[in-house]
Amino acid sequence: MFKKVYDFFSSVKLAIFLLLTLAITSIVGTIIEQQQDPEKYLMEYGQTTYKILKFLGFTDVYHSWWYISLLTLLAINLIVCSVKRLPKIWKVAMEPRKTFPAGQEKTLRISTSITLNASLKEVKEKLIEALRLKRYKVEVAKEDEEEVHIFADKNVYARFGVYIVHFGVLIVLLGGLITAIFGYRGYMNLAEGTVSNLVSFFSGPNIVELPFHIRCNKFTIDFYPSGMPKAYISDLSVIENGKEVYRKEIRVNDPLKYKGIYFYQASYGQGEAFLKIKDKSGERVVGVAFGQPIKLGPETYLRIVSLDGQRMEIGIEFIQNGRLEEGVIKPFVFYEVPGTDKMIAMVDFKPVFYTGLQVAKDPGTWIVWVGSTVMIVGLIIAFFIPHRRVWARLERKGEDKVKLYMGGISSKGSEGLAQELEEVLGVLKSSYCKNTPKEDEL
Amino acid sequence: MIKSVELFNAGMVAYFVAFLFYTIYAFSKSSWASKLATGFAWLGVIAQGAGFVVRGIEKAKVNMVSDWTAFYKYAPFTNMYESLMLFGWTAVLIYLLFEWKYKNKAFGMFVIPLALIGELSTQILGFNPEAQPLVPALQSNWLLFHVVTTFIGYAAAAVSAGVAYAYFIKREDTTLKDWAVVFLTTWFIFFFIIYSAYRENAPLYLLISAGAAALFCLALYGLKKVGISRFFPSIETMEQIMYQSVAVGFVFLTIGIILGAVWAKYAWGGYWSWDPKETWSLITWLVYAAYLHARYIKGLRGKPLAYFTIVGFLSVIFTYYGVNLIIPGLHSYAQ
Repeated sequence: MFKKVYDFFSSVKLAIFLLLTLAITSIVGTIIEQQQDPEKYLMEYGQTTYKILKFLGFTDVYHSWWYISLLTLLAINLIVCSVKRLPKIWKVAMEPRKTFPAGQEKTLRISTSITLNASLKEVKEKLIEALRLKRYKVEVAKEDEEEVHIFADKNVYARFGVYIVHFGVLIVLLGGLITAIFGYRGYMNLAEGTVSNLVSFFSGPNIVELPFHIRCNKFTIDFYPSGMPKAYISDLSVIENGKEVYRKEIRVNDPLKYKGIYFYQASYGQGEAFLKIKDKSGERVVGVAFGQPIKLGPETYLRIVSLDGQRMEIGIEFIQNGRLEEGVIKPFVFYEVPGTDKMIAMVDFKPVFYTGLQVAKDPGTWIVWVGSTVMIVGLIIAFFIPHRRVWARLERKGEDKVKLYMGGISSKGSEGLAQELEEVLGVLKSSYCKNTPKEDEL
Repeated sequence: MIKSVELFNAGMVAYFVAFLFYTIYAFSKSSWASKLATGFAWLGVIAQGAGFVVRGIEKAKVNMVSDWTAFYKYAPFTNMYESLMLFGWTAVLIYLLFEWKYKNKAFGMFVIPLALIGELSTQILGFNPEAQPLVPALQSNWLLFHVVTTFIGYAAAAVSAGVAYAYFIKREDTTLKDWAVVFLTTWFIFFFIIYSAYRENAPLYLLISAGAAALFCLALYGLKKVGISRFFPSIETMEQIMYQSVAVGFVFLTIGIILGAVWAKYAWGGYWSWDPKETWSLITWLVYAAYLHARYIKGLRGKPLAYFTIVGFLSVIFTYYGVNLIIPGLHSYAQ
């Protein structure tokens, strides 16, 4: 049973199947718009189709149980495959047969032989030197009066390129997992001069309270002469314990980073509401950009989302204990905030621009970068660096005559290796071959 | 001062002349035709290379850049016109490097027209050739590196597909079924390219692209009949070239995707947002990953290898054209 499961997960066929299945199912998410509001789907597809799409997870493919299962299977497949194959590859790579018995040269794709006028010792040393010049690791595998066997190889690590790539992929997947569990992305709308520490998620009632505040000092849009926007610039300050600790002008492609949290220039909009808040301690007026929540009590927030100037109605979202309710209020009328001792009224509105910041915390990013680097290094090794091996046998043929047999294999393309052996042979020929230009290719 | 568009056009004329000489060379084997062919191809590459430099200066002007160290941020690869010029230029350049390395000029008459069609399509499809200012999202240090690596990947995929088509000319046992596959895939490619420009009246463009694909197949069939395959390398070498260009393409696509993720981290707030372009680049990556594994365990070769190569290229074409223009997303500004 265990053996069956193990064989199933260690097959490369499964890998091909998973890769292609992921490829095909990923297409779905580029045809159906993802993570939209239910109303939007209902309008586009109707009740029945929407229910089917929802059931299949097609409205959020990349977070659906089956897509994540496919990724998990791929990760398991990668690990089991590597565990199964690595020892074999290790044996092949690190423990080759190093001697070069007679006749063996016939089995190699590249091999030559030559007779040289020198002693066994001279040829041996010259050959070792020539191979070392080509950056080979050389060792004498066997040596006696009659014969010397030499083994040389280089770039043995190239055999493991594929495993480096796979390792990189696993690290990237791990980074993605950490992003999914510990990271978040939300937004913050700040009108000039307003301060907040509340980050709203893009949909739903989730609000994160940052341990510090952000103030927008200034928001500017630059234009090209044609009227096309050239730059969006927000001048932001980080405020911690009532003091400004950091200040930066951000623009698209140049975010602010503080304590692992990034603030990106993402959008902009129009509208700042002024709210009068009354409680036992007195009353105060605060300005807040549309879409940005203010905190009115524990787990209690209010957002102004729209203004209907004609009917004099203000659209709000009220969030308490993780539940969001939409509603409408009238200006200058005080409303009691449930669960608190506060009264609230909207007393003014200004159509000023506010900056839209995207706020992201993502502890997985660095892991993804490490994994990506490992992957690129692995790919370059796997595809572009050849592992080469050379065997040579020197046979003594009487006094001061040596017959050399030499051959090799390369893990990628044999032209390069043939060229190298040619050059090594050239060195030997120019040294010991003055009288015997005899050379027989096998 | 001379305009970049004039240099790009001059390059296209040079490519066309080079194509004529490559064809003459393929049939006559005359050495002067061979030299002229390569000469004109290089001339086109140099003219368009100069075109990119001039284009960069023009873009710096419309972007009102005075800081010359920031020049590389305004690399001229940011709309459909520029990116198609880059595609054609890279494809010819890669081809010329292959020609120089393998000393074989038989593919010139396939690759050069492919590049030329890509570049000419900007005029047929009506892409705006004006140098335009950059929207804020594209003003990034990563633009140049992301686009260049991705395009080397795309061009390598195009070379592999070009060889795959030539492979069906070379093989003696090309059946009607193989021709059907060649027809269907080119139909798809032509349709994406044309439809992505107009985005209306799909049936009409399906018809037009079917006609174009039929002509293309007929041309291939004609070349096979006149015995062009004599000048191709052996079947094994062609399979080797297909596989090697896919491998090169895979490495560069991987680097391109990763650089895109790095850029996205600084521009959009996260390294991966499942934007349609991102997703399609992942799909292409997965297809090629499956390809490499299939070759590794099953020794994928012969016709299935050629089919798979073409499917990979289809995915590239869709990532490049289809997503930019058909599906809205964060990459749509590339229009």
